[in-house]
Amino acid sequence: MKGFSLLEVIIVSAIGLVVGTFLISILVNSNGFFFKQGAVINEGVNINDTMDNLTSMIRQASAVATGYPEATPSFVTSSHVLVLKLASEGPTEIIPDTYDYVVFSTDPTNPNILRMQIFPDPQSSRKSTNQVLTTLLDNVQYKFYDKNGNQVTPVSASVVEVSLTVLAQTGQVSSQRTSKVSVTLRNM
Amino acid sequence: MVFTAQNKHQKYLEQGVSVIELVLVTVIIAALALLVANLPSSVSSINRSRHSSIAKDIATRELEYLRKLSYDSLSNGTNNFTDPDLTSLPKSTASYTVNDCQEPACINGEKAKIVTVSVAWNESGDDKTVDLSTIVSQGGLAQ
Amino acid sequence: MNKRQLNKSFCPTIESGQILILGVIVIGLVLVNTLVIIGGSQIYSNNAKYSVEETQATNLAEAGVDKALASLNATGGSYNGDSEIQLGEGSYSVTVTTPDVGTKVIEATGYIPSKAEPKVTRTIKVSASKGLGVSFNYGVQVGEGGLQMSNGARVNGSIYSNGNVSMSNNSIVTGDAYVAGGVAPAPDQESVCTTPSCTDFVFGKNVAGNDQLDVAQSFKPSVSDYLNKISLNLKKVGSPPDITVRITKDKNGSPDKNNVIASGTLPASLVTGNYGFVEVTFTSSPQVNSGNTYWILLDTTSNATNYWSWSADSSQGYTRGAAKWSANWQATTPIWNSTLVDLDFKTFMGGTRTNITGTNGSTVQGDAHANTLNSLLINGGAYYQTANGISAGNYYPGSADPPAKAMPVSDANIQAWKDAATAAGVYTGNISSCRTTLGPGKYVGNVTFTNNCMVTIKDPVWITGYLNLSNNVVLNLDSSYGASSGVIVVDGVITLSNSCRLLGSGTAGSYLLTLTTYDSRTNGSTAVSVANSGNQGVLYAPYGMVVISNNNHMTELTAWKINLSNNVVVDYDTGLASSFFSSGPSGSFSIIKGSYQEK
Repeated sequence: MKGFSLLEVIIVSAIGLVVGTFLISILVNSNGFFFKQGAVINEGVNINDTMDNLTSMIRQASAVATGYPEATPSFVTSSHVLVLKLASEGPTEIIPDTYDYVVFSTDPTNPNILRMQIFPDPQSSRKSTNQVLTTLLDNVQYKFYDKNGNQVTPVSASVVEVSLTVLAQTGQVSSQRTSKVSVTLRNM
Repeated sequence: MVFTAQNKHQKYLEQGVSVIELVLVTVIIAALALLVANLPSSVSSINRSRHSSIAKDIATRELEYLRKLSYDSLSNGTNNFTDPDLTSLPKSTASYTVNDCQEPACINGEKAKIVTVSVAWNESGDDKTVDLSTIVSQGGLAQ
Repeated sequence: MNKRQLNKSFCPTIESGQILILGVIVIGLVLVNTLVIIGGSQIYSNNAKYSVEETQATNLAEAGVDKALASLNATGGSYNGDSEIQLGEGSYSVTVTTPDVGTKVIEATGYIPSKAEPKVTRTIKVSASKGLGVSFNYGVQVGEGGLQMSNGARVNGSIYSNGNVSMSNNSIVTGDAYVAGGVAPAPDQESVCTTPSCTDFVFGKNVAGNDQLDVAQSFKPSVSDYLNKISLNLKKVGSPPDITVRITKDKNGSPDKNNVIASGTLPASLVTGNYGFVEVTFTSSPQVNSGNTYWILLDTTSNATNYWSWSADSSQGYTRGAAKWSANWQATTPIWNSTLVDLDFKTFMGGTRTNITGTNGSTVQGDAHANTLNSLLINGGAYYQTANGISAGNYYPGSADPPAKAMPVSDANIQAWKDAATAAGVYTGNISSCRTTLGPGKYVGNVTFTNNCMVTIKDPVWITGYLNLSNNVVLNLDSSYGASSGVIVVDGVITLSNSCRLLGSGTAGSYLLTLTTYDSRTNGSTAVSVANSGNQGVLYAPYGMVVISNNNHMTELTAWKINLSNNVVVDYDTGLASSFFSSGPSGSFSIIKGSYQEK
């Protein structure tokens, strides 16, 4: 039978090496591409959903609370933590003078997790909730204004401005976006 | 004798390509080609979604601001407005329009205005827009 | 020979498909990545589109709410909703319901792209209110202070008094006259919580798996007498119906369903969303004995949306009774569970035997109901236990004492008006010169108008000092009120002299209710003084004494104690039985802050 000379073997393996490197570089590039686009997708989907949730709660709030529970707070409203008072719900109407508390805070152990917790009043029909809104949080900032645009203390605020930054990272590549919305409290 | 049979066998295996193999390979290559061709459009779709979300934020900010103004300070007409995020949108414009609420919505002479906020940008040749419409009345929400 | 073996072992491993396998793997991975990106971009595109549409739908729903409010105000409240109105990228629909007089519930839904085939919907619910309905059913209604009618005084209408009525020379009541069995002024038994032990006891719904529908608080009276009325500290959620209140005896530490000794109605309209003591009287006052345990039993049905909350003392400070709840007090074997709190209540026992005493031609043209009737001419029937010197159309001796009657406006209603006045504006300083308009708002100080001053009132007005009107002063409600009524709340004394008039808007059924919370029971001073003649109005003093002097022509009087002097006429306007107090100066609907909900 035919055989291959050493030279042929060397040439073939060299060609194989070159083609293989070429193919692997395509692979890596496409992965990088995939990672980048994947990150953009992640960041986009996360920030839309989180903002929708936040703005809905602020719209329904009767006031910004100093903290929850009001007497001895474990959560205190600040530029990074938001505690809202929502009127408690009887199933068809609100219950006057009774409030549920909604807390938006980051986890102490993991600052990339933005969590929403609802603490309803015993008379309310609203359900108690503990929900992770996003795991890609980079930064969140709350600012408190009155109707005329002046900055005020949180409890006197009738407008809350939320700046939410989400950072999606895959490998070395990342995608970041900041969304900022000013929402008026409809129940204030 | 054995030698000849092996030769023929090997020849059979080496020489021909069956129809099924040809068809499968063609299909696979065509599918790959289509997919890869779609890739750029997916990327631009991702870009469009990103811009659309930014435009939605801009429009929402402006509409919330308009809603909390007193009803009397809303005057009819179209005005442009600016927003720092507009720079992230290619070739963007932002405007809002205020009109008296008329038929078919308002038939009793209600004190209400239709407010529409529109943020438009150009996505590689295509004009895209995000429009938010609402009605603001005297003594209404957020007033 | 060696070469052949070498070929077989080396060549296939290098040549025959290694690149191919590598290529296939790479192509496979690129394929997967591509698919993921294409899929992801689809997801992102859908998500972004959904987010935009959700924002649009929310704005459409808010458009529906604002438009409904504008329509209610433009049509005077007769707007019912729209099935679908196109706006922008989609449409909205609105339904408006009327749970009670003066309140509308607006529910608006935004649809993208249309109601028929919606991709995204958002619903917003909001309540809008216009005011409160109050029934003044009697020309004169008096509390425990009693009524005194002097020479020639006349009530064109009926009177109801929780205290003695004395009618002098030729005074006349054209309608019926009722005097309730006397009520002691101070409560015999009571439990009132104090912070920080105050808590809420919810009943009339299922609470954490328990059907807390029937609630009872027991008490032990310190005297044996008639239980004339009770007072309960309640607030309501939604619009529950009136409650049947019963008094039962005790059986083994729980209410005895077979021994109901009295029943009465707690009107839901006297209870507001904030706690307040509301009075309950019975169809006939039961007799209770000191030292025995009795139960105040409230019977409701389960309604997850309309129910009650009873102010409760978590420290259980009331030692002569306890509170329990049950799912059904009338079950074959009712199960009563301890509430672990005491519920805020007060019991008022019967006081003296009450009477209507007339002299010289005093006449009741309708029926007269009292424990004791003295020297009266009665054209209708006389219902009594003791009678002296009466002449009646028909006689019904042995009739039960009429029950005490609660005031038509509760303390909670008055507080709600005060809060609305405070929210409208606070003005400090006495007012002593004439002005064209007054209110809405809280006026910290005294208000004095005199000499032909004509003031247009926009309610609610709350005056913390006194109100003094003299010489042809006219206070009338702004004409924009239409058929709605308005209120002026005064903390101090009200004085009217010489043709002062308190008038409604001019439309039939509209009244300007002028009320004072001044307490005459302790210091004996007059709360409302109407002197000389020509004065006119609807006056209300739940704890005060009203003295109306000669020749005045009043529309309606409700007070703790009333003295009508010579030739005073109270001309009852039947429209008062269904008067309606709007909130706000234009009587327009406004959104109840705190009622905005998103679904």
